[in-house]
Amino acid sequence: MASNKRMKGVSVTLPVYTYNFATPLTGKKANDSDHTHKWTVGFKGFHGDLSFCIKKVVFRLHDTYANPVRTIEEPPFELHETGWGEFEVLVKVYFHPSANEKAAQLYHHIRLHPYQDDPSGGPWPKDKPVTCFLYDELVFNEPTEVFYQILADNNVAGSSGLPLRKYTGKDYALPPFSVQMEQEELDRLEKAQREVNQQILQLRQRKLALEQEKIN
Amino acid sequence: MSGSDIRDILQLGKPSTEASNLRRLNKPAERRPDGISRELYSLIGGAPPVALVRPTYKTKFNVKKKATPWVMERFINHARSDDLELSHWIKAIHASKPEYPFAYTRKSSAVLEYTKEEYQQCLAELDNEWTKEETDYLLDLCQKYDLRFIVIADRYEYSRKSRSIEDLKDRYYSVYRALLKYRETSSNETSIQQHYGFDKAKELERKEALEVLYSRTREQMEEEEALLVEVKRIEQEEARLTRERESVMHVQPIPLTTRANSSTSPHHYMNNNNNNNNSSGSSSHAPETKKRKRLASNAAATLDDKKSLMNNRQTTEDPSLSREKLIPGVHVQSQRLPVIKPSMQTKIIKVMDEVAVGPRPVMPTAAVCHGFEQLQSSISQMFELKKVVDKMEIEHKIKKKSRK
Repeated sequence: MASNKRMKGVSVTLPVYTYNFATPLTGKKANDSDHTHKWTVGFKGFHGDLSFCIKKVVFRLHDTYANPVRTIEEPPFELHETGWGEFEVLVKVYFHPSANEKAAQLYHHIRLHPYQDDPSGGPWPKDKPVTCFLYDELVFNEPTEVFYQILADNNVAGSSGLPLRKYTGKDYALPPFSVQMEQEELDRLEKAQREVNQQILQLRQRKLALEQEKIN
Repeated sequence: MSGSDIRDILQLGKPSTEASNLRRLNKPAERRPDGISRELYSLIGGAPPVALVRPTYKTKFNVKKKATPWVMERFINHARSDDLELSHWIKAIHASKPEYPFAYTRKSSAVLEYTKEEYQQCLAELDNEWTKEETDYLLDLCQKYDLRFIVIADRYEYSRKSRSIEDLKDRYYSVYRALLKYRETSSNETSIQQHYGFDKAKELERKEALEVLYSRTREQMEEEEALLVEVKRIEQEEARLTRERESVMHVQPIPLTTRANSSTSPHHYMNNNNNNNNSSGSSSHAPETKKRKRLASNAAATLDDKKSLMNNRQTTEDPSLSREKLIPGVHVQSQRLPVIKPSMQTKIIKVMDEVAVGPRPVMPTAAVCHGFEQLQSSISQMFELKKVVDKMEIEHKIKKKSRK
């Protein structure tokens, strides 16, 4: 079957991220149940709503929730709930059947509490939602021809879709991931690598010196 | 004193008499195998029952047959040139045959002959070492000894000159060739060359080689065999290696369309690659760097080269070019980071913290993941090195102390 033919040596990367927003509950609702926060967990990409390649997303919540398996079949792939604790959500992404692939599994730790100070300084304001974005990439190795075509049509194979600069604006829903951010990380890693290499060099020299002394 | 008295003094036991001795000797022989009854024993005639002796069967001489008559006969071998009459014993039925049965064995080969004029014409200048007389003498010997050069060489006695077999052969065959050429017989050129193309140098070499071969020591022979086995093995390996190389090179890369590449990239061993890619990053560079790497190392390194080329680009394009073994399927980038041993984990994380890197990358793109992996492995390398150095330091200190 043509749809099952895979493209050898081809690899397509789709950048995605899981996110969650959380706002503390106020008012009557908070008093009734012991849920302290209202939160939303979701899965998004950078190439539109991803409906072209994703069939559905299944969020598996903590077992203490009734019906922990929540399926979302249409974009936006997100789930709204209330709760009191932070836990890990298993995000299972099911692809378009032409991909002939197993579902990808991502994990997202739901953040309810602000762990950092507000960027403007001072404590976190109460109504500002706490956000958590976790970047990841789905790597399709040797995709089927049909699927590759789908991806290519939606510009996935061409560009990463990442914005160039870090978003520092007001809209809390937009993730900070950008080319700039990646570059910063690469720089950090490079710097770290250099330092470690230096250490290694020093150790090697020391070793040589000791060996020399041993011989003498 | 009687014997019994002496025995009492010496405190020896009762004497054993001859008769009882005899009895004792006989008894064991008789009742040896205890398992069988007395009657059976007497039937089979005592032990050992079976003797493994080859039955020697000699036929009785048959006196009835008549003796074949043999006669002493005188005979002449007609193959001989003289009239030598010899006598031999032969069976009467085979006797008085006109032909000597072994006459067939005497075969003579046609030895060369030339006239004086012929010699003057073509052979005089052939070889300065040989005079006509000597050549004649040689040919005479050849005739006599039927071209058996070994014998001829042995009997060669021309004015104290001692010629080797090769010398004689060489002279004989070159004379033959020259004469044939001169006479221009019907036989074609090639046959002359084939049959009488005696090459002295080659002959000497051949004999030398045979000598060497004959006088090889045992070690040499074994060495040769071992070498042959090695060669065979290497050839087989080579076939397998080339096959593997072929399969690795089998996948054709799709041309790369890179954007302007970043200058920084945490691939320390690919610095030359970066420099290349900074110019118009195009697919032509891939084969170039490919070629360079291939010169330096083998196919495995070429794979690494391509892998890092793939990681080199900024973003998620470049669907191909990596010839690493791609496992078909989907996977999550961050889940591909290598797992570290829990014992090392805390230490590594601590070090990374010192250099301002988090325990997991914030933005796990392919490039970042690669860099992260590398950093982790470098750190663990550093730790191992540190362990070794610490040990050495301790040893050193102890030595110093003991010296003091």
